[in-house]
Amino acid sequence: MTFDRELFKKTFHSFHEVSPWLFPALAAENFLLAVRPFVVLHFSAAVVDGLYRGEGEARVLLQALWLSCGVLAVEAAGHVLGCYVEKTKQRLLKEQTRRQLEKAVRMDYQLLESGKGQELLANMKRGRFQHGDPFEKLIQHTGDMLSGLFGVAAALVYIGQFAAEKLAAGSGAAGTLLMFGGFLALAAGGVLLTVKNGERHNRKRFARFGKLTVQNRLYGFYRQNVFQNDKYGKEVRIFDERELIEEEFGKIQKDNRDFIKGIGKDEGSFKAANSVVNTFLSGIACLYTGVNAYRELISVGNVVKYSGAVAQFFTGLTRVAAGMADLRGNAPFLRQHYEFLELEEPERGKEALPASDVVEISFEHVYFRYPGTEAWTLKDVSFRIAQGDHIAMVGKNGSGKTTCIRLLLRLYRPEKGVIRLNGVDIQAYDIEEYWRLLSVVFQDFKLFSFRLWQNIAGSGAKREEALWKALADMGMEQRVREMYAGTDSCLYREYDEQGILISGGEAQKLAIAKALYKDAPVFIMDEPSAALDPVSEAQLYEKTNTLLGEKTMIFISHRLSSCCFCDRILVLRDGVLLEEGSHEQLLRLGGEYRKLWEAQAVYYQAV
Amino acid sequence: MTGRLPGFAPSERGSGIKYQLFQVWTGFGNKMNRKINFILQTIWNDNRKLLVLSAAQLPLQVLLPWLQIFLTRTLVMGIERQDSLYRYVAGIGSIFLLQMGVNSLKEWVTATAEWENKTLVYSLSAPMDEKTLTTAYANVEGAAGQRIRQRALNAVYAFGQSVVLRSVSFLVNLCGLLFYGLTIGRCDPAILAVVTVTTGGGYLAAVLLRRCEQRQKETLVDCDRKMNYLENEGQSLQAAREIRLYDMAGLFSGLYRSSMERRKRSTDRIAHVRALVCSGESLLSFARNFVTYYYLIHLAVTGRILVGDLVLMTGMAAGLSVWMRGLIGDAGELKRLGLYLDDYFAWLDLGEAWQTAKKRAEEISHEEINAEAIGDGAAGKTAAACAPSLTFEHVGFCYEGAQEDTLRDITLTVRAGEKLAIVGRNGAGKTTLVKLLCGLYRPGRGRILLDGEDITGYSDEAYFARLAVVFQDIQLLPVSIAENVSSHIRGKTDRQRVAWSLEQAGIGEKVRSLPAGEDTCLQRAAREDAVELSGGEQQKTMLAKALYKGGDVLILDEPTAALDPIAENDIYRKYNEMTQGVTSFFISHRLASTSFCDRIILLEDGRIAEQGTHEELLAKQGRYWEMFNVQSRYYTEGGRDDF
Repeated sequence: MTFDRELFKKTFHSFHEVSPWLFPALAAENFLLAVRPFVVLHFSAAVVDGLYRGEGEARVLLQALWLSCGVLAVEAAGHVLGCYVEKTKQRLLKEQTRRQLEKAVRMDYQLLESGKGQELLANMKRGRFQHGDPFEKLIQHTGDMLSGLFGVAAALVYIGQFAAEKLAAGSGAAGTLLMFGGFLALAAGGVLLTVKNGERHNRKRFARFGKLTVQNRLYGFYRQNVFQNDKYGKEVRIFDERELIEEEFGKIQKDNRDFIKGIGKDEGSFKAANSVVNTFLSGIACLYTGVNAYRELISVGNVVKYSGAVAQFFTGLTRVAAGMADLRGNAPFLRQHYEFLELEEPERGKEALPASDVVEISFEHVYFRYPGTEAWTLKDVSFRIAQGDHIAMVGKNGSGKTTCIRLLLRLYRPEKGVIRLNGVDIQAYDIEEYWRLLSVVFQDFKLFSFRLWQNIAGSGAKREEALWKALADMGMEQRVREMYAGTDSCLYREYDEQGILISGGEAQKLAIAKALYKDAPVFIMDEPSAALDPVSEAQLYEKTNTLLGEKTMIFISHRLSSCCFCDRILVLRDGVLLEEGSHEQLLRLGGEYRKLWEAQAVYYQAV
Repeated sequence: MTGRLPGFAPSERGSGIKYQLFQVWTGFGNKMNRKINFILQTIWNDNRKLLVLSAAQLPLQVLLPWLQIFLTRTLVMGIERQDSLYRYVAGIGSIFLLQMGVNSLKEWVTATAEWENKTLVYSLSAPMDEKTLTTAYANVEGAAGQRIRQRALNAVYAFGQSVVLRSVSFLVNLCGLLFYGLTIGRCDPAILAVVTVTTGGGYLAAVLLRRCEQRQKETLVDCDRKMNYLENEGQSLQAAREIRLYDMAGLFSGLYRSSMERRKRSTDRIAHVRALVCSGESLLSFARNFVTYYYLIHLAVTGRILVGDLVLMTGMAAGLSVWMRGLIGDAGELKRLGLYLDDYFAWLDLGEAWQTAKKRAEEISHEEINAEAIGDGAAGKTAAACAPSLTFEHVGFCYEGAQEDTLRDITLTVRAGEKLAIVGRNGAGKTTLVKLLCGLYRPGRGRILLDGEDITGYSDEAYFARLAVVFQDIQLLPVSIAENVSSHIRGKTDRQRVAWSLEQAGIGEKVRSLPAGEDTCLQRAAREDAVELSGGEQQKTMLAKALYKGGDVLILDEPTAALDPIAENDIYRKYNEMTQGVTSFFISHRLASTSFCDRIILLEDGRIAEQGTHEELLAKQGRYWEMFNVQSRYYTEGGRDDF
């Protein structure tokens, strides 16, 4: 596994952006952490020597005072730095998740929806749950590694002293150098072994995580959509689905458990193997120090110091090796983060919109299929919508109506053909400006658990008057006035615990109010009345018809009565535009539209 | 607290000795004991290996740091006592071999236990999930119940992830404390006293820190919840469309930033207090270090201890304060974790609105009927003879916490085999009526009778067995179409009947066209190999599911909302066939559906405002007539010229 310079640069840059002092402070904190045991070793050696040599009590006590003061100083400085690092770390972590959010809400829709985008998002979420926040791990492991490095460095200084003292005591230079050289070589070998072992371990581990992707999605689904979902609660009870769910969910849980246990096994043997190597080397070195002291080549106090240093040396090495292995293990998770942030956006147009309010839309031989599917969802669809046209799109389930709208909204791009607005390919316009032209009520619309006015006004400022007008138009004025904070009330409970719970019909009305508030020149409604009762439905049709008289409107509905309001009807079947014309024309034509119409009208004409 | 604990019977499962040990270990009083016993039972049944590994950690973790100190002592002492070189080397060598063994064993045990520990969350969530699937529906749907369950789930994660690790750490610290304390105390009680006093001061500091953290906790939890919500919604595709078309990206990042700011203020405060508290502790440890050395140096100078012992004692004194500090931290943390238990058990012990499981006998006899029906496959409607009658007697209902009644005084008799349509405006009480009819809620006032017998007399299972329902919302599992339709595991799925149901629901052809047919999995959101059915196709699958079940009361709540006119018409045309031999309820906003029902009920403000056949109600020229006109106007006017 090679060192990923790119990733290192990026993470360093992220550190630097939050604060240029984060890394130095982290290094300094860990330096102090590494140095603390050496302060203790140094002065306790002096104490031991003092006592052994029979120096006066006061002199020995002075050494003890130094020891205590030294430790205090090192610790206090460490706390100050630690405080700074912790604060900055928290900022760094949230800054990174903020960037993910920012990217997710602004990126190209088709990219977000693509396999790559969804996979990265799912993997990041799973990673955060099972592995932890990659940046938190990064700081933790970098700290471990640094403190290990500093510890090793300090220990080497002591070990050098050891050699010097031995030489000074008249031990043979060649023999001493051989001993120490041999020791260092052994230690290096130990490190190599540990690192190799660590890499193999990490590869295994990441592969295990990879295999779990499938289970994770399923697990999340059951948690969210079955156990957390009160609507599923009805199915479970009436249909007696407990056994089915428990069996399926049990299987997933068992796989997860096996995975976790497997990792535990790997981890256990990995760590045990490492510790055998290190303890062995450390013990040999200790023995060597003791023998030297025994032979009076070094002082008794220094045997404390050097044996301590040797122990620290190996503790440091273990930390470095573990830190490196952990950093490597963490790298794929970090890489995902940057990969997501750097997902390449398709070229977006920059052209300004025409100044006039007149909007003319045309589909020209548009072909489209969803990524990953073979069959065309739309085949050679061409039509024009003039300013002020009221268009209905009808057709059986799966005929391509909603897809047409999604293309018009630039959520997807046609594979062949163009969609033009006032003669210019819609892809050429600046997308945010373009979206301002469109008010849409989605079939699966979504209201957020924010304040009611935020749901309606989006990022813009609150226009009080327009807001109440839109609510009044949808017959929601009274209901909103009765809420605990009027338009400032939160909806649902996820964001604010005292939020208002609204019914499906009310939600649908708010979704339409939102579109009315936006007041864009083109108004699109995809099945806006599915959850409305007949009276509300009729009111909706009449309201929108009068409110939006001048505007261009596109309407999708399975209730064909809505077509009567429209100037022109487009009939789709299997992705092909089959018929086009007014309600009367199409009935006379006696084709698909007439079939649809009659299927529904027969029940009402019997009167 | 004497609530029901699912799957917990201590006398049956627990062994005597283990039990005694738990009793000693806990000592929290009876209430606490019951909970802790339950947790330990769960661990014992599911994660036995974890317990063994945890116990094994105790001696290893206590011994290891001591061995290092003891090694240093031996190094000094051997020279001091002028042992023979052979003895010296043998002494050090044996310690170091011991160290090697203990260390590698400890590493192995700790790492394995750490991962084993992660399975505990699954074990603890199992009883919770079981409760979710079996408790009264009001507990699942009601806001109060949902809050309790959410808290319990948080508790499972917070508690489950750290309780065992913390307990082990607590015990290790306790053993270390005893071992070191006794050793030091035997040598010089004064040192023990110094260490205890200075570390005790640290306890106050720790309390201070904990209090600060507690104060900030609410803010932190609130911020994290909000930020999580924003992160999740920001990634959802359904939300993505609204965000883009309604320029909500700025709103999202604005809200996120403001939560970030609030969170930062909290975490900053905690960091500041922590630095202060830690510095205070450092000061105390300064005093401890100096005083300990002072004593020991004095003892060594006066020749009462050897220098080697001084090394051992200073090391152990430092170690003792580490154990103590750890113990204080762990005790606080365990106490905090203990609070989660209340949240956890609040869900497990949540009261049931009613007791079930009375009508055992009827349940069984009905199962026999059902089994026969299933055995007949395509001709599954043999239960014809037993279509029941249903009676509502002055039924009223008010949701928990609601100001007004949703249903008021509904009185209604549905004849055996009758086809009833229920219509009404949004909020008139249709859905609530369905829930009562389904036995998901019990009426607040009045009674519902099935064949003249109060349905509260039935066990839930026995009553549910008689119903076939298509609910408004489409809910499908990431399993095969066949299993979705049968609602049962593969082994209990009647394939013939599945095919028949799919055919009846008008989706047979579509399913056959799929590469794996009925074995095709659903829900692409959950699995790669699944197909995504369109909204209409999903709705038909839900219908097939109800047909497969085939109870003798059929309830369809808005079953055609997502269907195109042709598919809708198909359902209407088949409705007569579907309702052979059952008593049926059809709830719809599409009034066309009422023409093939025997009787129509119009609900308004929780009351039956009108009832009668389609013709009768039209003749009456009341609310129904109004509604029908509103809806039919365009069909008749628009179509008139051409017919």
